[in-house]
Amino acid sequence: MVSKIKLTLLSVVVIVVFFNLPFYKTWVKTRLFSEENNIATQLSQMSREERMINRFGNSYKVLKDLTANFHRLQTAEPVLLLPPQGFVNDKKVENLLIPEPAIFYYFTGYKAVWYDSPDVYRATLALEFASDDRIFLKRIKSPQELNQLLLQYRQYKLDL
Amino acid sequence: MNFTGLFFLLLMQFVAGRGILQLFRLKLLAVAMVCFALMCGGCVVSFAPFIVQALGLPLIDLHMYYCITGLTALCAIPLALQRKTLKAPRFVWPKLYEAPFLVVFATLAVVSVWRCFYLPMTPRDMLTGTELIAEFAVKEGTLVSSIYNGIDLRMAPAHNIFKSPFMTGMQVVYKLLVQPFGQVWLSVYAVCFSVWLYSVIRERVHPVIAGALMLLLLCAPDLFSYSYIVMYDYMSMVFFFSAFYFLTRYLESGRSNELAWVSLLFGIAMYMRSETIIFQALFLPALLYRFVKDKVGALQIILRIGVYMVGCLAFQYLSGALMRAFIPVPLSLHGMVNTNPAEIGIVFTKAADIAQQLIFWKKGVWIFGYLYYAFLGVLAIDIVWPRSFSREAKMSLLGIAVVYAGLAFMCYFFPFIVIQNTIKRGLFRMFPILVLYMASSGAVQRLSGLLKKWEGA
Repeated sequence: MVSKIKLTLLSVVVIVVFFNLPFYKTWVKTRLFSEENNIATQLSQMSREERMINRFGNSYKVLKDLTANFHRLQTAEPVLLLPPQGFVNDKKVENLLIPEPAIFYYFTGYKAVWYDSPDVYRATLALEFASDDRIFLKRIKSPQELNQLLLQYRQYKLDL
Repeated sequence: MNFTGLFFLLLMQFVAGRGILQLFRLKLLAVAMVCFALMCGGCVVSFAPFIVQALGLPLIDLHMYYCITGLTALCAIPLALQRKTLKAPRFVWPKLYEAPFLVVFATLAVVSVWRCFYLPMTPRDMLTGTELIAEFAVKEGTLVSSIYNGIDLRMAPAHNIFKSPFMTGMQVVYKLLVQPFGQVWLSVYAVCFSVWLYSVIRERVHPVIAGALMLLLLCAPDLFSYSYIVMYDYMSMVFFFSAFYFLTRYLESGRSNELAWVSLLFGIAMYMRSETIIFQALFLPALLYRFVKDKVGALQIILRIGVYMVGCLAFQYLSGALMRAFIPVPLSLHGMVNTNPAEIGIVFTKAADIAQQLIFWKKGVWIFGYLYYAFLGVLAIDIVWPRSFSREAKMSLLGIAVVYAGLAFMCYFFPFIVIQNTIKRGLFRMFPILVLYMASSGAVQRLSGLLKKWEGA
């Protein structure tokens, strides 16, 4: 029995030494029990939407808020022309990552296109960025308007 | 969270998996039996959405319950037929001094399981593939959903929709029966695999050493992250290592049921990631060496190699058939496969890159922790003293070499592969083998012997 108790103490020593090695100490603090993954906080945010916002952040929330108004537009098939990330960055919009069309559909249930999509001419909506950081939905009224947007967007590379 | 659905699935997975294990007549300890039953049963459950869809029924929870019950009943036939020969497997209770390690492992498991449950799926590979298919399959009641209609979502060029039907099946089932994000099936695999691996290591070395080795593995940062983030590589590692472990056993015992079991496990690993066949093929020389050494006849060798490979080929065919049936987008491999096979030098260049850019990379510790350093340290000690390598240690070194070479060959066959992504996760296959090597190393065995002697004194 004495040897078993000594071995139990040895196990504790091994564990303490292990988690005091510089790397594992940092890992436990910054990754394993990090602030952003605090279970107590997460327990107070249990709905599906809260969990989605916790994970995907502001971008998800903005896109969901914008598409919540799609039904008011009375467009047969609302299709959003997604701006390239570089364009959004140049507009000094902070904290907004533009997803690719498939992920946009996963988030919102609405279809979107990139400027290089074969279906780009079916785009009916675009995003407009005001100088005060607000984002609006804009209806694309004519092929000329769409072409103007495409001309602007094509100056930027599409990054995943 | 629907706990009734979760309990139903765990029960069905266990019964179905137990039936499959019975079919192979494997002699396993209780822990291994329960873990493999749950893991194999999961593969059976993953077929349910495809069967329901093939029957022309909508994908709803009721149809899933019926289909999974039917599949389980089918898999339980061997249990019913051999019920008189069934024996309760042996269970080894943990000792007092394992308690501190078990508390740490349980803490890690709680964090992992919680994140797996709480957080939605994040990797792009999933959101533009498996998760997208599963989410809309559940919303619309069909695998051929609106994601394929109208506006092109550019899914085909990313190729993610053509990956692992297993994940799609599991996501649909767990979304319908357990919780909106599905996913918690990964925790079942992560926990079962870790528990089984601990039992394997514990059989070889003193439990205190086994605990320390498991700490090294479970605290490898990337491996821990992928125990709650669904991707193909963690799952592939689970079945690849299981297949490797039983291959080692087969090479010692020569029992044909173990060879068939190895074939099935490699097949399931293939069902997760199709490049498994490269790794499996690289083990062929070891098999041939054994057969020649045992003076096995040419016809028998061909037959045994056939058995060894049939699982992988069958699952490859099955995956292809499921994709053709339920993904209405043609698969194009244009630009993905190496069209210049003469460029074999790529294999060596990429092998060097893997070492340089991952294993010995300054920031590599944030991926692997000190796992590689521990392995290299033990190997160096073994080479200097005691210079005795058991058969299992040699086999583990072969396994490590096979994974390393296999990853370099992957880069050769598929030039688009990014070392910092695909290969980084591909190295997971090596992690449990590193731990198995350390457990069977001559130096660690002697240390373990000393501890056991001291404990017994």
